[in-house]
Amino acid sequence: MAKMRGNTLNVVRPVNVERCISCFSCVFACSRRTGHVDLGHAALRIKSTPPPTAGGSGGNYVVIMCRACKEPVCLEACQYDAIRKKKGGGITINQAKCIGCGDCADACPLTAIFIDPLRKKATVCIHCGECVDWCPHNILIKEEVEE
Amino acid sequence: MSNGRVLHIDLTAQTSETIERHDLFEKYLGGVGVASQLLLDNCPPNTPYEDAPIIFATGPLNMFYPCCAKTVALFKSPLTGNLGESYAGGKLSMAMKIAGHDVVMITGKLDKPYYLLIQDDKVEFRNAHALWGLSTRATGRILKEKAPGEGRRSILRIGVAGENQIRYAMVVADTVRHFGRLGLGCVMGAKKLKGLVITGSQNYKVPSIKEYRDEYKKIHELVLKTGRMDKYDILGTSVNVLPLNEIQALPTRNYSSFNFEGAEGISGEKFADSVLVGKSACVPCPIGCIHIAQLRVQFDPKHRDYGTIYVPYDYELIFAFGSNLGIGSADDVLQLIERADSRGLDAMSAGVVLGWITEAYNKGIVTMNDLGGLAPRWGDVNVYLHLLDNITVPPNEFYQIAGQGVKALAERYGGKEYAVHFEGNEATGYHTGPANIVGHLVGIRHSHLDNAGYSIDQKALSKSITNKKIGEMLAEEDTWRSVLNSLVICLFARPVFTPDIVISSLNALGEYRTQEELERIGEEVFHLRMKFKVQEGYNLDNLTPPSRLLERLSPHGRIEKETIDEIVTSWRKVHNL
Repeated sequence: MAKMRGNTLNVVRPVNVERCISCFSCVFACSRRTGHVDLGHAALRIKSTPPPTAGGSGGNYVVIMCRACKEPVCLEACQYDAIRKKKGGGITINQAKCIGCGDCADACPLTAIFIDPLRKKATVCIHCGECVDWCPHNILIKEEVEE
Repeated sequence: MSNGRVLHIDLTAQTSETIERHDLFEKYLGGVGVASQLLLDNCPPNTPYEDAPIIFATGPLNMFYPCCAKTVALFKSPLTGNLGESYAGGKLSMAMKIAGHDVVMITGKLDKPYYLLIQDDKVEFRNAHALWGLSTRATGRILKEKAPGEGRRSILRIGVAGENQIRYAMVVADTVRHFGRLGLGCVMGAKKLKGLVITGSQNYKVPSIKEYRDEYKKIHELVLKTGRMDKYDILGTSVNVLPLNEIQALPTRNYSSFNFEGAEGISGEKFADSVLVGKSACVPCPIGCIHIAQLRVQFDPKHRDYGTIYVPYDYELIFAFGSNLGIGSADDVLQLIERADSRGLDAMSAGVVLGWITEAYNKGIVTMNDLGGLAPRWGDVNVYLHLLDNITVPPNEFYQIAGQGVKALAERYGGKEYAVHFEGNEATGYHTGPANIVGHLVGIRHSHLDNAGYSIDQKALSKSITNKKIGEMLAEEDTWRSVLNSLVICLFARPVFTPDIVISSLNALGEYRTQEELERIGEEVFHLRMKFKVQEGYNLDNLTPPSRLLERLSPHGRIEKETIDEIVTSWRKVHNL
């Protein structure tokens, strides 16, 4: 099938995440793309993990973002018909229908959907790739995928 | 972008309110400028430190640009009895911005231990009785579990040193950053404030997203692609160990010499190659200057019991717990950093105190009896670990005084000639020459970062600079750094944030300033703080350089008192003081 004009199908994913320094360059690049400076519009997060053995601080940072599932479980969780499957994997969220209830985020095994408490809307990565170039350590890569 | 909002938390009444102070941001940009005025307005002369306010302030660039990730704290220093000014990175400035507060001002004091949970405008006082007595690390872990906002918050906490009123107790910010100097942890402890968690959900819209994106990209590339900040990204500040040792400026064994035979063992290169396990950054900043080492501790050799601890390191800590104590092993330095970190002690002051104790013991003015049976010896990490524990929880009068710093120790026991401090603040890791000494003497917080005299000294090694010129250069740095600290930009990024970049980055957020205006504000902000210092007893006519630093050769040879006086005179003329 022909690709939509100007819209190659991509999936963004983290690699070698042990190199992450938690600088949030990707996070703010994401919200900046939407015209905002905040975390509420950002569709990915950096979290710190516990260290390899119990106690103390010293775990690694991880990038939490949508994996572009082919069979997204979040789809079924939405009671407001706000979620649609996206070509190439993953989903889009109809912001007009979404009420920010968080059921989709709860359903996602990675909790890779984020609720903006200010707008009461869910935000998810659409795999546009905007974040990729901002990472100082090349952790985020963009791959072309089949429909 | 600042919205001029000051969150005022009254600990005594357990209430909070939001105050609009656009006027202060218009007048002084933000950060230390705004905080200075608030301090002058809310701290009458000679207020005891526990009753004085703590003011955390951000500036208009924080969260909006790379490397604009610091927060300033102003308070009354329990260590010097004068202005307390300290900076920390981590996520604090971001968290304050997304909570919608440019400034958090904490006044009054609690009757029992609490921690604060700030979520946007909501302030909760949470009982911290069960946290009192816990290490900074345990407290941090518990606050992470109990408080909301993972990934979008900042967590401050104190350790037992702060609770026990050690005058140089620090505050841990987001596990690997610190409000290290001048005793903010002691002030929080006196107020029975164990910690603070701040988060929020505010959103900012810039006037022109295109202009802002372009400006962001420009700065991002200046930071990453011009090499201006590589030293911080690669080895970090510990890159300084070998060059300073090479020019004989690395304080060794309580500043008795400046060339450490064991420097190779504690060099930035050695740390990176043997113990560095990861880097971390403040938010937002693409430079991973925070270097984290793995410390493998052996508990029981027979059972082969080991534990692993992750410890952030930096140059100043390596000097304080390394060369200054005759310690040449990276692992030993890490053990001491970790101990100070978890107890909540400022590593720099603590290292200088340990150095003084060792020399005083060697000279016989403090005895094993004073020390509770310990016999300090250069290079002996185990005894230094015990000393840190005893300083944190003093078993006798000697350690109580040790918890007040080297000035107090020397006043009680003698040994003033090797108590290396400026106005009561323990000296830093440089003996580069006269600019460094004057920079510390006249610096607002008596720190190497006030005006970077150490850098002027190093320039003067290759091309001589007159005393008059040195005074002028120090004054110029005071002023410009007052601008950067009002914006609360990381000073590591000062090669990027030149005046034209500061102006264009402000422009892209809708704030229009000229260079003349910035310099005028910088000078005003400098004088605001000097006004507070004079109010609290600081006297420029009565400056005492540490005699140890005048007596021992620097890379510029012996530093004469006349040289110091000439530089001070030139500096005062520029500042009109």
